[in-house]
Amino acid sequence: MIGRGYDPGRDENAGFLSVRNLNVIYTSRKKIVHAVNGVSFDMKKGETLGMVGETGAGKTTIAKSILRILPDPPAKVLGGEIRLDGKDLMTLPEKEMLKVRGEKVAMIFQDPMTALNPLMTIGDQIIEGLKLHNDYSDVEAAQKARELLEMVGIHEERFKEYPFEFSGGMKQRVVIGMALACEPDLLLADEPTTALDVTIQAQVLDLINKLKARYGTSMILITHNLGVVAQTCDHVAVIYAGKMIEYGNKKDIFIDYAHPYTRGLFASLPGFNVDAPRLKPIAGTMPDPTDLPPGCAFHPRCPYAIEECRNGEISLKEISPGHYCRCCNLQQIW
Amino acid sequence: MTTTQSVHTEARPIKVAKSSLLLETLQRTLKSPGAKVGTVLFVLIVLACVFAPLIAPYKPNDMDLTHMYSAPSSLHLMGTDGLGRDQFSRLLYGGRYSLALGITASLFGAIVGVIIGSFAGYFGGRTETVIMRLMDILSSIPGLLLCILISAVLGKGFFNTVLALAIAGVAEGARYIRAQILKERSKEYLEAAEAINCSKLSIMFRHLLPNVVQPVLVNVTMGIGMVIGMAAMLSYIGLGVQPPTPEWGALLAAGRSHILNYPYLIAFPGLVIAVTIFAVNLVGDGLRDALDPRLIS
Amino acid sequence: MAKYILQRCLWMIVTLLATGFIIFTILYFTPGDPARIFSSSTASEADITVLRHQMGLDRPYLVQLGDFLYRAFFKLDFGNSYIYKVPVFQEMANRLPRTLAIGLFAMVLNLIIGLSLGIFAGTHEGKWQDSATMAVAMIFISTPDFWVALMMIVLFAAKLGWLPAYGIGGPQYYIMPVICAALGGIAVNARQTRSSILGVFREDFVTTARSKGQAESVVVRKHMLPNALMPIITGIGIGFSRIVVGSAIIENVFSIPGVGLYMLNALNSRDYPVIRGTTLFFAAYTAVIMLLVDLIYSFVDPRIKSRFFSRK
Repeated sequence: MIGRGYDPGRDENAGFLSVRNLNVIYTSRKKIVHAVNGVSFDMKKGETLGMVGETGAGKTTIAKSILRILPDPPAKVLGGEIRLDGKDLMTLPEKEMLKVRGEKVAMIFQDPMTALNPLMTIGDQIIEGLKLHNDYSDVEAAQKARELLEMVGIHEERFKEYPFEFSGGMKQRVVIGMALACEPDLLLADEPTTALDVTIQAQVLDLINKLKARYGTSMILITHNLGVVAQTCDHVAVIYAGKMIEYGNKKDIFIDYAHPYTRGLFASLPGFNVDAPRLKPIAGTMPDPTDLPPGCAFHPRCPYAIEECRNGEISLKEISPGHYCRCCNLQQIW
Repeated sequence: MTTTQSVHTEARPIKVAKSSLLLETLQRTLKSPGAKVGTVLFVLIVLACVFAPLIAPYKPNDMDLTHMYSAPSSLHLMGTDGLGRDQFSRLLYGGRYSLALGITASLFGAIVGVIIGSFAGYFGGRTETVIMRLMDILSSIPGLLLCILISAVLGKGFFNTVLALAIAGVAEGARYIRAQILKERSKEYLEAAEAINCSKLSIMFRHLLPNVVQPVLVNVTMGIGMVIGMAAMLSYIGLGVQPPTPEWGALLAAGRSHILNYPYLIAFPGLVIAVTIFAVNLVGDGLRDALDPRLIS
Repeated sequence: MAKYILQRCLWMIVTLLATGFIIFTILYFTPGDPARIFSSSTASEADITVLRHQMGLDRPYLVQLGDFLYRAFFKLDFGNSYIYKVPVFQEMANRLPRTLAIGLFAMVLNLIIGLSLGIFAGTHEGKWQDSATMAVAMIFISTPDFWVALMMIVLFAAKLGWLPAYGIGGPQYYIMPVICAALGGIAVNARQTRSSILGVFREDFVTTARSKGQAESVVVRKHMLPNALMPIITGIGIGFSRIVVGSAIIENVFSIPGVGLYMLNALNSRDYPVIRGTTLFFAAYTAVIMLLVDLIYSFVDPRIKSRFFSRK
């Protein structure tokens, strides 16, 4: 169970990935951006966790923290524990971390157009990853790379071509291939389809699911697209202003949603059978991360806010088995 | 900056006037410490030169024959030249020429360059090719060289030098603008304007130019510095502005035969030139950073 | 590849022809009659006419232009100096080594110091090393090269007596000229290198490489530097062309009898053949350097390479 007083030893469901109280800030020109403010969650092996939230909520920062590829400066991890298969990644020496990246944990980035080195052939870029974690000879690595290309649906003859010769969708496939090259246990997919058009989106998601099934990879899928979440995820975590405000499985979130923010997210989706003259956005904007409001970060925009929302830490409560919500006013709402 | 409590604010019409964009740019520029220093310095120098009659202890052509070639002293802050003229005063008055030169030539070159480049960039096709080929050829002669040539041809003197420097700046400006225009040309708001039947000329002046002009500001600013520097160089080699006009470059030219004996005749004018160019460059840098979309928070 | 090189060389020649045309035309329409200028003050009108004919100045414009271009480009004959009567080309050839020496050494200095300073500043972004280096670079960009030269003469020659103030001779005569010629270019190069390196730091593919588990030093070497190289090469090209023409002024300050000084003197004394020859020389010098830079560029950037390489 997530929240205070959690003891991993006690619960046999405790994940293969377990994040505790992750706190990350960015310093920029004397201001401090509170990007991640005490996020904790668990994941089981083989599961897909969807991380949902608006742009700037802190989702990418969480993912990059797992890999420890946040640029320091300006980012700074203030505290927290990230255990993968028992080992705390936060305290590993860099040399060990190099072995984790690419081999145990891999990441797919948001913008395929800039994710590849324009001066290296894609073959070479895949081989780079392969040779870092395996003892392949040049010939073996090249062969494996070609196989990977075929697996993601790219003609292996394009092995010697440069990124500028590929379209966005194909580049993303290459990136996916590169990430899965060493068969990682955990895949972090940061909005892998946001930069692509809808038809390609479907293909890429298909591919990800196929490969996930084949390798048994666990995945954290970061997205702001609820439709994508519905298609691919087992559990969902809703992130707002650097905190996780709701967590549960698909049914919990899509049908039994609790938090006013989650409610707002679903309410803003226009229904197919309803004639709506206007869209219903959530009023207001996300708070300035350098100056977060006291108490619940959502309370300035929340139609159900009460005095208590302004005071101190609102803790995560389990409102039904496996379904958690960080709101102090739930009785009133439902 | 706390978040707003109220939730249903009336949508206010946003006035995106050209002037507010400019003001905003200026504000952003002044945030960087370098630009602040540069602006202050530059303003001080300009003010000092504009108010030369009030500040200068002597008239620029007053000859004090009892103090020829005197070193810097309390009587003459920066020394005197062979005719006993106070160097400090000459620098102040000369600044008017140098600054006028810098600003005029830079502006003129930029404006003409922008016009030429806009026609090329917007109309495309044969017009563009012809104009750009001409510009290419013009800029294949190294800039300094072109300056020297034109100056040699036009002759010495203040106005000729302004012309020479402006012409040299035109080619550079045209190329730059054309590159900017190429970037903007494919953007949709231009297609939209055409779709509602705006004339090509009107599109160019009312839509395209305002968006392209901002980076040109950077060039014009740094151009002031470059022009002043080049004018100094021209004067030194015998072209450009010559003594007895107290233009800074001319002061350098006047002192050159005496550098071993009276180095202060060269040291002070050169220092002032360097500081002015430095100030202008700082502002230009700040301006460039302010316009860089990646650095906008 | 060869096709690309050929194309660029051809274009360079066209440009030089156009430059020759421009220079010739500008000089042709300049007020002042060379025949009159170079006749003695007691010469009669008839004498001047004879001289004008001898100089070939009474022929129509196009004939003179054609003659000049033909002789310049096919025979490398720029005529004789009005003043000294010696063949311009000969004199340029004599002076060439000195100009080239200053130019080339300055370029080497520019490369080494400029790049190192830029990398140094870039890798220490935000810290005092960065600000200090950039401030110094800014100062040198702002200061006119020839003035720095003059101040250096005052200091090192007059006051300290370590180096000679002017003229040529052994290597010590070239130390100050080379340094002064290189300074501005070094500063520009340093700033450009720094901003390229910083730009590359933020690039996504660098993060991708790190996420694969690549060691930081290898990331810098294999991913960052090659991508940072391209704008750096452009910056170097610009710096070099500044050195080329700047060396003319440096020659003036240090009284070094190179091609630059030849040109400047000719400009003042209206020695047209010399002006034409030397200006074309400098234009060609710059053009060759730009060509080399372009070629290097096309080697480094596969996007350009692929247009001219035949694949498979």
